[in-house]
Amino acid sequence: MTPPNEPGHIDWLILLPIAGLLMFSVAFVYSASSSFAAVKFGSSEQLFWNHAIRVLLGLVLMIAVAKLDYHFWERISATALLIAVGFLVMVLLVGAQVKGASRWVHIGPVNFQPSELAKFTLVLHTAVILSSKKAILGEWRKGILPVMAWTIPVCIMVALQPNLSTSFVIFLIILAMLFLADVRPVHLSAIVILGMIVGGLYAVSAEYRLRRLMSFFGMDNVDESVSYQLNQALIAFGNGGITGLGPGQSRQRDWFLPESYGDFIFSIVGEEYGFIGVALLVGAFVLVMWRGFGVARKAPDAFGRLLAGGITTTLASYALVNAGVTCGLLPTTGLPMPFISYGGSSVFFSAIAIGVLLNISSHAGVYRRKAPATPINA
Amino acid sequence: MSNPEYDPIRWKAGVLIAAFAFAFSLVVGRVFWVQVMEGARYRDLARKQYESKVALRAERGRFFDRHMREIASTVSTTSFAVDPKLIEHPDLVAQLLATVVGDRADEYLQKIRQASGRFVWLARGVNTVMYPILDTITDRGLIRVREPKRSFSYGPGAAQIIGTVDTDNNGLTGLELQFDSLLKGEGGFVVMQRDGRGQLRAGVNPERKSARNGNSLQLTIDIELQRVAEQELRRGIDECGAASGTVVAIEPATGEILAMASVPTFNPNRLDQASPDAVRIRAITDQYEPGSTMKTITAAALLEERKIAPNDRVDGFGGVLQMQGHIIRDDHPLNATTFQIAFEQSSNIVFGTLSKRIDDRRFYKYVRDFGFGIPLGIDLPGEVRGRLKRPNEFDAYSKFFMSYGYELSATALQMLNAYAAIANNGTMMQPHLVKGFLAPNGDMQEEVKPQVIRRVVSRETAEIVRDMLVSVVERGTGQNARIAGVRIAGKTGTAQQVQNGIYSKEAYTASFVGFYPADNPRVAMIVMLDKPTVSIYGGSTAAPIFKKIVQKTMTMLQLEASVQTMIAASAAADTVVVPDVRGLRTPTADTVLRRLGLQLLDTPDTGLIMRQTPFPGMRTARGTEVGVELTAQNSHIRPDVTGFTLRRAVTVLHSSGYEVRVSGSGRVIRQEWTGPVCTLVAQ
Repeated sequence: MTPPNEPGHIDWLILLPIAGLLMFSVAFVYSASSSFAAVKFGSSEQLFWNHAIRVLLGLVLMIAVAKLDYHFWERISATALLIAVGFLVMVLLVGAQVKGASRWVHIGPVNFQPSELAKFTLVLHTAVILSSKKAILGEWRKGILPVMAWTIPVCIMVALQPNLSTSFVIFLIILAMLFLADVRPVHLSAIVILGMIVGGLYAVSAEYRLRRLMSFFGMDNVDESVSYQLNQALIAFGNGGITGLGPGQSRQRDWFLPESYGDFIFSIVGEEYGFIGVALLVGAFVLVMWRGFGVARKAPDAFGRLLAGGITTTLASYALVNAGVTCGLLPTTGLPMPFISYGGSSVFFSAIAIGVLLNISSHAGVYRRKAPATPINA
Repeated sequence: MSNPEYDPIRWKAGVLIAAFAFAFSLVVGRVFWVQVMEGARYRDLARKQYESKVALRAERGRFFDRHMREIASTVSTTSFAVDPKLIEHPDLVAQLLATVVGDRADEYLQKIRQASGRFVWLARGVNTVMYPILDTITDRGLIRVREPKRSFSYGPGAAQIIGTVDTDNNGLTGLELQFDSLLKGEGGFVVMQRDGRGQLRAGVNPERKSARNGNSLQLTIDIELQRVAEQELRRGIDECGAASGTVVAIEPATGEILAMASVPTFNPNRLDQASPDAVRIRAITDQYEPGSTMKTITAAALLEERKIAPNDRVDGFGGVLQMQGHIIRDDHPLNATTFQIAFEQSSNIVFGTLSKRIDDRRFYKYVRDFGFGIPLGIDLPGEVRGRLKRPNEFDAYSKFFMSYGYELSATALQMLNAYAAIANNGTMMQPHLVKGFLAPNGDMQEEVKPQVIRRVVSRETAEIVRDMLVSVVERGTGQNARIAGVRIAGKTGTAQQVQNGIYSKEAYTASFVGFYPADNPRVAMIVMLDKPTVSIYGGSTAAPIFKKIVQKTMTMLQLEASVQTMIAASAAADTVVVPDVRGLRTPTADTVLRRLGLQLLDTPDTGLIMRQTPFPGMRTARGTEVGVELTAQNSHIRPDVTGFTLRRAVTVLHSSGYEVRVSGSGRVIRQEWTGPVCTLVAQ
């Protein structure tokens, strides 16, 4: 039933903002990491080169995946999710051995975060399940339970790393997909309430999480290290003003703001490029988000629609949570800003996800709206 | 669900778009609030944490003596640090510092290479005055920090009056405290940029305020006189076994203090090691019952009131006077005699008796006018006022005892200033230590003019007292201060100290106070010794110190040539010919010099004496210090003894550890070496 479409058509309103974000992220990371890298590695360009290479690989990966028919993912989603779960188990076991938090898997020279893989494959497989069970989604046992059977273990394992924020966002993404998939509101509400109870219990089960939350809501003495970081992030924003200090002129990166090139890079953008830069950056995400949901509306089949919706939700919620944390709207957590923060796993999986979205878009006929009768290139 | 064409995702996606758009707009709003509305506040916070004010120290003012000789200055030591990122010639810097400071160049290089930050100290407190080359290096990465430190050109001379400064440039004692605000100047600052680890670097066009250096002081002190006074006082204290002592010299016509010595003294750069006893300015902080030196004041009062004249007859009662409950004895018993002679012989009985001729109030007025019982207001911290009873506190014997220096106490400076008033024809001047205030660049800003306090007695009375004082030195108890050719006016004092409420038979205050030349007094001086033990009398302990200081400093006064010659001749009686100590070891030389009344400057026993000053054969004053230079340690030089007497040659060679064989007698004409054995041929 797929409408004929010119092969390899590219949705520029998605690709251009994303490519732009990636390009700028190289400049952002270079500036934000230079002071740290100079002392840590002896060269202020060390992290810049790491990141530039990853961005380049990410772009290549994105184009390659965009060429790949998205129905390919339908076939491998279960296997991929199983592998991801395997990695999660592995991380937990290793973490138990070294008695500490571990979010990384080391395979030869490659280090990556299995939670990123799990998030992506879970979105894939959820789209598969929900689209294949479209007719029986109204039933709790047959329709929703299979989805939750994957989601809950993944969320628990990620939360145990411990990485509550990622777990929480993954759960939200799946909820959004259930919502998009037309699950009965009663069931959805039940899951939300259940999730809130479990999440709430987990949040207060460790003292540092509780204190962090309480200090965010002003109910406890402020956690020094967390409030210091947030305060420095706000100083970075404020220091930038409307027009910013200019590229490479950040002062907060000079050991004032920890993680200036990672989870808190958004504030360095604010410092160097000002409110204008921040608005453009957020605008790029909003554009991709709007465009992504547009793809979700118009994809030729249910799988494509749900997958596009899931991918868009993932991207938008990561960007939103990171931005919200950095400017102090949300409690401090460790989520990267997609395409902007330094970090390989985040760049690669985000690039793959956008590649998939681009491919769905090329099937969705988004560009045929003005001339619905005849294919442009036919 | 019945219509396969319709997927509710069409509107639900719209819901999510709206939700996300709303959430993103919250973020943008929040960032707008922080960046634009609250921006100024955060920029302020940012500036505060980036900027660090580094203080620039003002150079503390200097001290000069009355002839503008620099006594205390501030040397600028420099501390060196590098910024390892910016340094261009690390090898050169390391090499130069190593040469000057003495550490190893590779250690400096290692410090530079291993540095983790942008600032590493290499060497601190280097005196670059000696090594100007260090100021010529220009290297972007070399950081110099100036750190001032007091330097005393005349060693510990005048230590107490100049005083001490703490590490924060605050005056703690002496003039450093008295004139702290003038001396310290005003510090400045430079704003440096700081990173999150607290490391500093210079910004572009940094905000700065230069330091304003402190004012300098020209003192009334003559540093040469001061040094002689300290030296002679120390020696005198040693000789008579006193606990401490003070010498003050003043110019009677102006009140300018020429010297103010206190012993024991201390090293002003090491206040932490000094005992409080050594830091005190004894001449103004310690009060004594003065004893017989007070008789001059009593005599002046009696003469001014015309109650007596020098040649009037008085009765000494054979040296013993009984009053109800008191027996008064004189050391030099007198019977019927003149007032003049009673003064020369310092008769307590005569003065006590004569004091009855003047009523209590008049007597009190004179004593008070001479400066007793009130602080002199000298420009030093810590002056005490002494103790003087008011007439209504007098008992039946108060005036009797006060007339010869008991029942009242005074500082050495108060007593001296009273004599200076006599020397100045009856007019008392304000004693002071600061002659002028100098701008930081050395220009005179304000000179301190001599100030009259009051006229105490008439010119006629002052002249009579002066003559009486001259005869004390020429015929009376002050003969130990006599110097042929100079008329010295002076009076001795020997006072029992009160210990545990009663007058002690062991603890005395011995003093001599006077002025010279008597006809045109240029210097008034007091020597005061606390608890002398070898002799208790001012005439035999303090007077000789007075004499030696006068002898050694006469040439400074620019007197007529004939007087100078006379003084030189009198001084010659106290001189010796410097012996030849070259070739000797220091202990031997010390013994030789000591026997002649000379002193060997502290020298370790690490070799043979190579050179000496003064040279052998020169005539010099007893007590002169002889400086020597030694041969290198453990060197195996073979002393050249040709021309020496045999006895001396043998001594020299033995003290160097050589074996000696002798042939002939008389002076050595040749010496021959066979290993460690030296054969001397004499003729």
